[in-house]
Amino acid sequence: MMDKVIVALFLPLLNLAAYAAAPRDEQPVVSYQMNVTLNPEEKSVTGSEMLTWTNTGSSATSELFFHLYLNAFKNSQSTFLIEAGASANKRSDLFKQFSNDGWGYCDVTSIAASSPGVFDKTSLTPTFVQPDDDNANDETVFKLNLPRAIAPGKSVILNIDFISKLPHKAPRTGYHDDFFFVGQWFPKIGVWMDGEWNCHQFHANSEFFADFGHYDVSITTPPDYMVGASGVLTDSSAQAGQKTLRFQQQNIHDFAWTAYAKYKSATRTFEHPDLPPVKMRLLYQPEHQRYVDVFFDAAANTLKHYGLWYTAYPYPQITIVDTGWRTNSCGMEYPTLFTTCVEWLTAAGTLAPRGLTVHECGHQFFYGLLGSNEFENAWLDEGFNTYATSRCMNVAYGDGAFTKSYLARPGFGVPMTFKNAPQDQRDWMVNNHQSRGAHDYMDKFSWDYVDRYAYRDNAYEKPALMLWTLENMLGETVFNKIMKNYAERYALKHPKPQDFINVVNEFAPQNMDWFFEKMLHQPGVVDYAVSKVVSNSAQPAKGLFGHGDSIALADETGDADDAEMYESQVHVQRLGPISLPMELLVTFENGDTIEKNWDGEAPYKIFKFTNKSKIEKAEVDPYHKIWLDVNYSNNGRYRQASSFVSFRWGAAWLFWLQHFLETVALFS
Amino acid sequence: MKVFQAFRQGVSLVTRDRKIIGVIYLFNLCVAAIFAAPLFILFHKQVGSLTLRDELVAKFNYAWWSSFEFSAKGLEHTIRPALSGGFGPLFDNLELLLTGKFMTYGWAIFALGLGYVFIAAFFNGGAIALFADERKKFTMGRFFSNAGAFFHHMAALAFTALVLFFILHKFLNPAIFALVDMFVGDTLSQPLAWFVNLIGYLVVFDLVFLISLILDYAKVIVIVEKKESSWLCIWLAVKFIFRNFIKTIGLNLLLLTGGAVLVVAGGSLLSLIQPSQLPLLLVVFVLQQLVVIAHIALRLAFYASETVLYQQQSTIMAPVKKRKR
Repeated sequence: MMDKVIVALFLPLLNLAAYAAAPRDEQPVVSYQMNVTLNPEEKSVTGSEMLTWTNTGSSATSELFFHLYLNAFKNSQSTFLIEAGASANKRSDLFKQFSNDGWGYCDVTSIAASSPGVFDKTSLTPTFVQPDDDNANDETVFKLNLPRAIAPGKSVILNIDFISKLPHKAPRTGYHDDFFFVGQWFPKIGVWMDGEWNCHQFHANSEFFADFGHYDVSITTPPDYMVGASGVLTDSSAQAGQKTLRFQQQNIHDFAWTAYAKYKSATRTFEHPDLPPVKMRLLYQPEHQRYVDVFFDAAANTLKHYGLWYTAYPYPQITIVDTGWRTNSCGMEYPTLFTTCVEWLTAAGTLAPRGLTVHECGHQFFYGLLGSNEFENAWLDEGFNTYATSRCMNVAYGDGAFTKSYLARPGFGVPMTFKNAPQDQRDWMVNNHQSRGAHDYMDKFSWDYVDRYAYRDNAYEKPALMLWTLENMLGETVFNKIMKNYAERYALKHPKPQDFINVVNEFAPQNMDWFFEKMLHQPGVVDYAVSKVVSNSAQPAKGLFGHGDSIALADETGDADDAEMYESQVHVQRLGPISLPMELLVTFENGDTIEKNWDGEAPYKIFKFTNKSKIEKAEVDPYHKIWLDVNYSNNGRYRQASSFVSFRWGAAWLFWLQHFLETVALFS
Repeated sequence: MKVFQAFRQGVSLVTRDRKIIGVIYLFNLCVAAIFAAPLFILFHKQVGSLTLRDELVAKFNYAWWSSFEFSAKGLEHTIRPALSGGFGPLFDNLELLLTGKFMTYGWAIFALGLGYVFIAAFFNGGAIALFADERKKFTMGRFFSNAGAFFHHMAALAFTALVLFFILHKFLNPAIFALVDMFVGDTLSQPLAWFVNLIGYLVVFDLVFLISLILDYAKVIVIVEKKESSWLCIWLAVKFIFRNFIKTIGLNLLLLTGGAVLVVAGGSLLSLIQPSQLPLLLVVFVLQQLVVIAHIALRLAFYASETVLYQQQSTIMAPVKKRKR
């Protein structure tokens, strides 16, 4: 009852906010009006969609291309499932969850199109096409042939009826029992750009791309279901044992929603003096009451730091969905809505679920606002957001710690955090990049990488480490300017890699094309090491020196320095194929230091020094600027070894083994 | 009262024959040190010269470890972040008992563990024989001659234990958790799944406990009763346990509580200190060795108390048998 009162009081305000707070385009490319009904028993959504598409390009088109993402889960021959099975080698497992009623699809039952002043309402027949491969069984893209071409500036109105049968626990979407997460669920038009349709099939290693537009979606469900959706709730009504909720939002490029009777909800407002307020609505699992503050705190930190560093979140509301255990919808981003989750039991001192929540909330910026093409340049959103996540986590929460879940099984585990094993927010990226970074390079379409690990590395870890490296090379001030300008310039647009490179070159003290050339097009990793440090007494000069009458043996010249000198060498190796400029810091036993810059090109380089003291230690990249270096631990070396560290960890290992032996003695 | 009496007498027997603890401890230390030596050398070679060593003496370095782990071979894989905590090494090992994943640390550690089982069986014979005869105090000769005399029985029982644990973890454990998964079904409630899994682990724990209990009393019986058949002793042990169910279970639960206290106290103490300097390292080393010694003493206390309880109960039961005749 209270909910109804609140809705009645605030709906008019929220209605205004949905349109007023977001930037308003003069002519949106797309405008979706949908009326949909959830059928919990059939696990389906029936709907009608009125789509207005305006040709904002410079050439006419007589074809329209649409995504039907849900058809990726229609049968085992879809491109998505073939790729997922082939790379994961777990096709049977993958298909098990779809058996019987678990398959999902989107069936377009009718389409009619009209274009004011161009052609009258006409029924059309979709034709499935496969622009990325020759898989005739893939039905994730269809095309429509229009009676007449739509010229630039003209619009076409499409009335589409469809049934979306939701898959059982498919990646990012589907149902589980009476839980529904409805993502990639409606016929969605592709992007008309540069005179052609950009409308890729749904691949296992790819996400999405769409135009910004206006969404006005009325969702009908049984009355006991709690619904969360993209946008803002602007109207609600009840009729014949059903309820209908209307959500609206301008300038977003996708729409997702969720319905579940057992959700609990909480609302807070994000406020910051330099940023617009944002209503944060959390839908959470009943058993996660104790994480409510954690979810809100992580989301608020994201809105704050991303907002201050990059660009303000422009929408009036954000919906946080805690999807719960084993739904397969956790950890996904949609405009103004994202999903996160947490284990029922987490270890004291863990940063979970903050990292995931910050990351998914961060996608509101890198994906939601900067709508790059996730099919073609996955790193522009995932990589940027992974970098920004670690930055935000560092500032907001500091280091994490290694956590192990004992007796781990699905749904079970006794987690323990090891505070003596701290983890920098970037450590896991370096770890993954080391094991995955050898075989591929970044500038590829997401399904073209050799495997899913190469996709992960080149979409997430490598670009994030690249940005950390770039920030350290250019300095924080310059890099902050770059990121802020890039974000503000391309918010609500579709930036491409060159757009970012151009912004970097605009603010960097020197042209950085060489850097991006290595990063984007060269496979492999960066790894430098100091392999040897030696110091020997300098041999006194021998032989004849001088000319004419002053010629004399070296020891008779009398100008020899009495102080003993040492000749030292530092051997530095480039172990990875990618080279970057390096700094070398040499510290002598008398406290003297020498810094040298090196282009980092040679595979092996010997630096020679003569000093009154022996070298104590030498470090390549001493200030840890190059986060791309996959093994930073070999970057610094003392001239003399010490046994203490070996005793320290040797003793720990010895204790474990002694205890292990006594544990197995139980069997004696 | 019999339970506490048996416990007290058991502890006093272990205290009386504390040199057994010393023998087993020295053996344990030597075996572990032989395996630790190459690892120590490798560690010295890998990080002894790195500037990273300054950080590594203070705390575990995850970044270093992930690089190390990437190219690790054999025993090197056993170096892991859990070693950094006071509880990590203890919990890692206790987890093995419930999961049976003894291959986690590779073939070398598995083979070492297997060998150690039989050496421990050898020592068990010597120890239980001394505990069984209150009049005979520890001498090295007596201990080893008893150990030798009963080794074939102890080895047979150890082998039986291994077979039973293999069956438990290979067949029963998966069956138990298949039932757990069936019960959990498709539920979206993780607490439900968590508690059902916990019940599954408790069942496994009970089975581990029961197997150990039976085989412990079989060891006691084979020595006290001087039986020739180890198999018969297992049967007699089963009969004894079920006739004295409350007492036998009660005694072992009491001893297990001691074990739990040891883990918590040892883990907590070791968590407190990070040995970043030599004196602290020595303190930690001594503490670690005390935990191992306490662990050995506790295991011996199990045998000693079980021996006392068996002798107590069989003396009570013996006249009854005579009267029946």
